Amino acid sequence: MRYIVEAEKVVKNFSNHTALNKVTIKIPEGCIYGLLGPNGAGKTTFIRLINQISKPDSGTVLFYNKPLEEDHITKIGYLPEERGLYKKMKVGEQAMYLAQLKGMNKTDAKAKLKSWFTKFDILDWWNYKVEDLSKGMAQKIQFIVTVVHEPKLLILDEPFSGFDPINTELIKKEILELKDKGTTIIFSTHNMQSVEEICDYITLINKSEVILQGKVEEIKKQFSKNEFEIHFTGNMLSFTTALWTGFQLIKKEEIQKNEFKVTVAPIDNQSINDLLGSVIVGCKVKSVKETSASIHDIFIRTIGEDNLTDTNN
Amino acid sequence: MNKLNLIIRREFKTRVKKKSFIVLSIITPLIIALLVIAPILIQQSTFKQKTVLVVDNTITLGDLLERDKSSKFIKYVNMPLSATIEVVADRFENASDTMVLHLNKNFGIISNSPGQLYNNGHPGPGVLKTIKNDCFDIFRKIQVYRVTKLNLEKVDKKLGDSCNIQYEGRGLNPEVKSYLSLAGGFLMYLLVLIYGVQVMKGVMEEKTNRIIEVILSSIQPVKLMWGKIIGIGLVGISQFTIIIITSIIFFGAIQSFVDIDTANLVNDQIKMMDSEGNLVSANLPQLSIEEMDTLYAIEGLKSYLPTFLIIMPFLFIGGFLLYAAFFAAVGSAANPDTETQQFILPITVPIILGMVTATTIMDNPSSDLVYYTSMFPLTSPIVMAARLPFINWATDWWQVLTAILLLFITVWLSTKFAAKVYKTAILMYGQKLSYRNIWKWFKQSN
Repeated sequence: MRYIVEAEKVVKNFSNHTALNKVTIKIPEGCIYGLLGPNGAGKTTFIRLINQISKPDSGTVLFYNKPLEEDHITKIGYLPEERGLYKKMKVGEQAMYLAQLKGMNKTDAKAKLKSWFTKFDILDWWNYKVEDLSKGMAQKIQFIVTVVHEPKLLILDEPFSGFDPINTELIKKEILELKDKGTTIIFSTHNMQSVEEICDYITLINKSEVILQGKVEEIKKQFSKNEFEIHFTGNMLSFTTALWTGFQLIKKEEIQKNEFKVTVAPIDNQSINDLLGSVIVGCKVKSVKETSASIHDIFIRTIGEDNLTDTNN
Repeated sequence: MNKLNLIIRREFKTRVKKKSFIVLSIITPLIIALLVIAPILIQQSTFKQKTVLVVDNTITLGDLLERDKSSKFIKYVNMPLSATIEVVADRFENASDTMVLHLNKNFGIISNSPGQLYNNGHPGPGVLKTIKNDCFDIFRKIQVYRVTKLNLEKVDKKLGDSCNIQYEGRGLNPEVKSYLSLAGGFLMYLLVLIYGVQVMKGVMEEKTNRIIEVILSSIQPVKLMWGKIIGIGLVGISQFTIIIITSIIFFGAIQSFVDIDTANLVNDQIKMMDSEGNLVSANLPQLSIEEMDTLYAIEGLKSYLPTFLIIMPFLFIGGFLLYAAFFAAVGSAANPDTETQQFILPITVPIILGMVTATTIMDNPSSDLVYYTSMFPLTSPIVMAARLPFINWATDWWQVLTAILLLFITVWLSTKFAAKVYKTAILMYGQKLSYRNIWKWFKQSN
């Protein structure tokens, strides 16, 4: 696998605390990589290292197998959590300025910006002053100036914070489109639902250290509780009777009369087929699925356990 | 395009395009010019020649007043002997531009016998003083005649109008030097303070707009800081240049307004003073003291211009960079809603001290205080700027050079300090602005 970013045992200290402690994160090319963790965990510090806004005290950060150098920033697009625009500048002038700072020449910048502005249907705003725009309008411009130079790596720090649902969907769509075109995306967020929807990999950072890392599917499997959720119509008594030898009833929810949603756990190693075989005679099965842990649950559980371990120590 | 260049261009363009820039650049010299020409203008607009009718019972003074003392300000007319003061005074009681001067026969002989001036039109103190002086002058000459019996014409020549002390030292007239010194010091003081504070505000701009992280993901913080300082410095230099050019235009306008070739005038004046014993009666237009001052200032400015244009840029660039660095450090450490006033104060103290010292230069250009503060880097930009007109280039050149050298060494140190603070502080939100924190961020930066 080819990695776009490889951070190896990175340490970053500030005067009175350690922001990153021997953090190792490898980001495969072409994926969407979720960087999760509570506030103050060290996510932004890590992102700033990749952006060369600050330097690690020890450890290495490689970009396409090479130590970070000034030229790399032209290949990175960064939408920070704290984002703003020069209020007194005109939209177009400002977008041109930011695009040129990312190394684009004037002609390219203008052509690309115009096409993005047209795509987002905001070409009319080119000569507006930023202070005259609404928050949602400014967000679109912030997104455009982040991606206009066609970065290989796109770093989005809480990209949806403060976005309205329409803009959120628009940006989500664009992110997926960029991924299809080969852009690697680092996605730092608290929004677990969006992680589940779009991330391929995640790293969970807590208190400056990596506590969980891997492919989203694998992590979910790892945290799966081996339970099945079955939705059926029929008699509850005959359902439980059919179950009793092999499965244990965990949760029961009556949707309406004679219609239930039930969570069961196998007593030995019974599979979903065994479950169906047992109950199919006594009731009409509408759906059945293996319940997997949500990223949200995993987040809460892992952070909780980590904090507990720390307290006990 | 080079990124530093991009930053400089943006900083420069956004400021120069502001209306306030244009307005300030033109209004400032206009105000200065108005201050200079206002006294002349007021005088000219209100000036009317006054006629003084002299009813002379001394028989001698009236004639001489009329002959020797009539000017474009006051015209003396000696009344015939038959005219009595009652008649003349009654007749011109309500005339505004005509006054009646009565010199009784004991005028000047008995000390308690003053002359009387009749007029209801409120003559200004200047007019009264001139009449008094004219009478005294004539009277004095008559007294000399009475004692020496010399020909009045000869007495007149021998006495001259006034006595002059000509400055024979090097360079400019001391009075002109004083004005230039004060102007130079004050200009530097304003530039350093105004543009220094602009740098601070400029540095805060990215933090306030929360765009800093986006910018820093494209350019190194130190380059951004330098881009701002240079961009704003260039705005300063441009404004400065525009002010100088517009001033020259305005002064040119004043010159043509006064309608005299000042260069010739001053030369004539000097030539006249040069000739010992025989005073050359140069054909001088009659000018008021205010007009003369203006013309001297213009002449002084012309001859001082080369020194000014060569040395001042070094002092300005050095002084600006030195203080801009401190202002940038404070700006980067401030939060958008912080009151920065109290943190600016320690930076402005040496600037103000420099200005205060600069004002003492006029009276004592070679004092120890002036000497040391014109070399000490924190005060040298202002004090040396004020000292420049008094510098004797043959002996003191090394002082100017040392001051500039020391200044730039300090600039190097201060910008290094500012860059270190800036790098860390600019990304800190919600941290208190304090000297302790500034020091912490300075040490933290790698």
